[in-house]
Amino acid sequence: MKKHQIVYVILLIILVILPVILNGIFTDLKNHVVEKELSYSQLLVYKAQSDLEKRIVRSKQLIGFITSFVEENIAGHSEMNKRLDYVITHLNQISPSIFKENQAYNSIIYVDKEGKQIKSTGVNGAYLENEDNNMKTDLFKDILSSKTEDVLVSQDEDNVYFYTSIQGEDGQFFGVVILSLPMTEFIQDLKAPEYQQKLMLIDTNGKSILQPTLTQQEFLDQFVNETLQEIGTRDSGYVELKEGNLLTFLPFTVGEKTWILLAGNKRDDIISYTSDLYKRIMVIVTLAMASIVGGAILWRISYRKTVEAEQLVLQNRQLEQLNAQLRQNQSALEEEHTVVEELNALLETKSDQYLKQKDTLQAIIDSIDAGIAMINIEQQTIFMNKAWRENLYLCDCEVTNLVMQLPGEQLIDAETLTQSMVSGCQNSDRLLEELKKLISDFESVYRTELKIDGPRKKYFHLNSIPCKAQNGQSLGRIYVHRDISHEKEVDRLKSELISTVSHELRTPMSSIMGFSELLLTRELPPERSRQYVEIIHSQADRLTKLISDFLDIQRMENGGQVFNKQRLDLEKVIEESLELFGKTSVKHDIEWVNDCQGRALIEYDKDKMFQVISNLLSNAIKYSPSGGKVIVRTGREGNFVKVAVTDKGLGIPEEEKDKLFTKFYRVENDDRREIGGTGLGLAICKEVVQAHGGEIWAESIYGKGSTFSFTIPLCEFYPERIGQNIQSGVQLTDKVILVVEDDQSLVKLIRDILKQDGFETHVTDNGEAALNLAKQNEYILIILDIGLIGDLTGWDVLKVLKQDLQTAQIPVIISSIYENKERAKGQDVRDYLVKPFKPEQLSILVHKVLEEDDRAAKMVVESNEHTEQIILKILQNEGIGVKKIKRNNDILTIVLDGGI
Amino acid sequence: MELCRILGEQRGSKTMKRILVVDDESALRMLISGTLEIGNFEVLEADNGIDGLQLAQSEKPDLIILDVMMPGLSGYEVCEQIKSLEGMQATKVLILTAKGQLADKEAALTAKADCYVSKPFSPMQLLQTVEKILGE
Repeated sequence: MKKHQIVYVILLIILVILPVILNGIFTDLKNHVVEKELSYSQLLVYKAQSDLEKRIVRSKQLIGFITSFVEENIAGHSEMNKRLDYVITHLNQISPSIFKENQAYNSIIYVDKEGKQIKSTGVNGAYLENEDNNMKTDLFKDILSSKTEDVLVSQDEDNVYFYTSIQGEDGQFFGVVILSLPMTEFIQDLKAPEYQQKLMLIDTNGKSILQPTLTQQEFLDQFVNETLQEIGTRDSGYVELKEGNLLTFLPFTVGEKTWILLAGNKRDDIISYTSDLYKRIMVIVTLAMASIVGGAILWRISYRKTVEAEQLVLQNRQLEQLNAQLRQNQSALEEEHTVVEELNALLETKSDQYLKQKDTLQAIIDSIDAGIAMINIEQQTIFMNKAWRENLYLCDCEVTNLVMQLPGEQLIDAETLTQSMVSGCQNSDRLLEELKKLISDFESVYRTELKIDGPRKKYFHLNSIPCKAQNGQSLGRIYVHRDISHEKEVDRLKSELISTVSHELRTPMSSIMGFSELLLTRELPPERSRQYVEIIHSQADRLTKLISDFLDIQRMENGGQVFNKQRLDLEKVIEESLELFGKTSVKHDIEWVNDCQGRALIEYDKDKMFQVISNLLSNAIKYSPSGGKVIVRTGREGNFVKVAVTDKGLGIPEEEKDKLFTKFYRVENDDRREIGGTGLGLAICKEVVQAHGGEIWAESIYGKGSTFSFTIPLCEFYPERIGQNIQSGVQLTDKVILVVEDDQSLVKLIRDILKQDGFETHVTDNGEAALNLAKQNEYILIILDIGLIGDLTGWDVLKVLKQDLQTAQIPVIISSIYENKERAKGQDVRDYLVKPFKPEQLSILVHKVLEEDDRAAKMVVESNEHTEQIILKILQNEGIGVKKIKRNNDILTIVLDGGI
Repeated sequence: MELCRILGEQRGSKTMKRILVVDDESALRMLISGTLEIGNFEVLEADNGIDGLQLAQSEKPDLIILDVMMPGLSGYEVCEQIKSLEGMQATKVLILTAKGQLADKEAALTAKADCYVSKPFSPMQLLQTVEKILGE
């Protein structure tokens, strides 16, 4: 048998025996506890007994004291009565300490030898008396009969009585003194806290003297029923009641009666105490067991380990041998591994190179602006580059980030790819059919042009070629999709150029050649010959101009053009252009609106600017074939002068506007194609305007007309008022002009113009009022309308004015819708303003008239009113005309007519 | 046959054949009309396609010489419209253009023009061509 097995057996035995031992211990323990509890109960009942006896002893002492006092040297009954009375009355004084105790005694009674109550005090005294003077002699009969000197004790339900006989020295028996103590008082000590819950007191009939608790009552009932009869009142001891409750008992005699003192121990208390103890023990035992078992197991394990360790040592040795072998093998393997690693590194480098190459290739392919896509022989799209996706609007689809696909990973199927190629194309159905055939065809080459309709037309060239490996194996088909819109546009421009140049050249050529042929081959009348030669000349001129246009644009574009800039009025060049075109076009009405409100000086090359304005005007005329108004508007815009040419012609489509100023560009429009032109005019305009630091642009509503505007930086600007002042040199301060005019809108216009020029105006629409005003005020000029409100016409007013010497000298301008010079003859009308007139016209006219006036000879004479007439007379006699007289205090200024 | 020809000639000489010249270039109109006058034709002139079309309908000329590049209606369009008009199919049309490319010839034929002369042209050759067309 092995060691550990022995240990197991021992453990097993311990486990079996332990409960038995434990049970024994527990039983002993329980007995011990019971004993302990019992002894406590006994202690309790004995103490109770002694408490009660103490009462009895005291009472006996008291009555003994009373008796001895009464008995001492007593002579007869009378003496005894006296003494007794005294005792009774002076009991307090005799012994205060006793009396204090005696308060509990409720009466002292004296009974004579016949048993008659003689004296009494307290309640019981009265009670005894009420028994028809028949004392409860049965209580005291033993005293009465034996006449003993001992103190006896008797009791009834309510009281305990202590009594003794009173005898004379000669042994004469006088009677009995009775001291009564209430029962409650007698057992008072038993109500102390130490007895509570424990102590019980019953008489031999089982009646409780102390009021029991409910539990006690239970005990008592059991005790009275089961035990009391058996044990009687003999001795003390304890009984075990049913349910294991314990009861300790002690008989106690008071007089003739026996009481039993009882103390109970409830089983539960005992058990709970013991079980608690038991539990604690069990825990300790269990812990001890556990540690034993644990120890045993640990021991076992350590034992096993030792065995295993021995085995391991053995195995280790074997392993070491194996290890040695392995090490040999490993070094061999390591050698191989190094080789593999070297190979790996090589591969990695290669792979890096490959990836780099792949990236480079990818970048190259992506940077090509032509779209490239490939389908494999399984008809799957396996590749498409950036440009392809962009060109074919595949940007939004989920393949956006997939640039190069590995074979087998399909982007989209070939059919979808094909459809995307032709979407938006013209003839898309036909193309789609052709392209679908190609999907399964890996031999033929296909080329086509795709025209995509849209807001901007686009052209693509689609080239599809089979893709083959070096060994000739078919890999699929490659599509190359190239945006050729620009090439198309260049093509178009080229053919446009050829077509326009050929037209522009051939037309004058035709005339020149034709007429010269006629001149050479035919006899013609001289005037016709001349006409033909003139035509030849003009057409040759046209050709020259065309060629110079070509050269100009060439030069300007190369920056070789030299501009001969001069600081000049803008108006000049406009006037010249208008003059030329006003004559050439019958259908068109060319109007010039000048909003400059002053004199604008700009630096420009006159010939080139003329070319610009002529080009714009000729375009305006050319592109409004049905005639109409052409408006040239000049105005100031900040530091620029703006010239705008507006026609009511064909207009320009919105999308063509930005191309207008491109060389050789001509709006693609069937209507317009037939309008001749080199497509150089606007390009030249742009170059010229830009060379002058300005801008040129077009605004147009298609079908309604166009406005071409350009700006040139302003060098100097003189507002009309100041500008005119400088020119004329006339001092215009405080000068008032009378305007006689009934058209209120015109009045406003005239007033505004004159105000701008620094004149003050007085206005009237009535002839009479005008005459009155002319007399009252000093006017430098009168602007007179013919049709007036009131009786007088303008002519009438003029007549009266000229008759009056005071007003005769005021220059008058007739403003009328027609220029009636005949009527005005001899009336000294300075000038005519024919309605409608331009603002500047009025301004210029007024200045002109005033300037003339100023230049006239003047005579300044010191004179009063009297001498004035004499001077005028002298002048008249001398034949000198007087134009105007102006008086300023004593200084008379006479403006002479025609000079001196 | 001979008689017919003589009668025809007599009638031709009596009533001059009328030719309508439509060209926006006044110099060319003058050249063509001057040339045709030498050939003793009566010449009508119009400077644009729309006027030309109206004149053609109202005057019923024997031949219309049309320039291609004109504002408004092009020569081809005028030609096409004339040829589609009731009673005008017999009117001969000669297209005269500065363009000398094949595309223009095709366009002229599409428009059902009877003849095509490109600029620059020899006036006398034009005259011969016109006489040939009208002679037939």
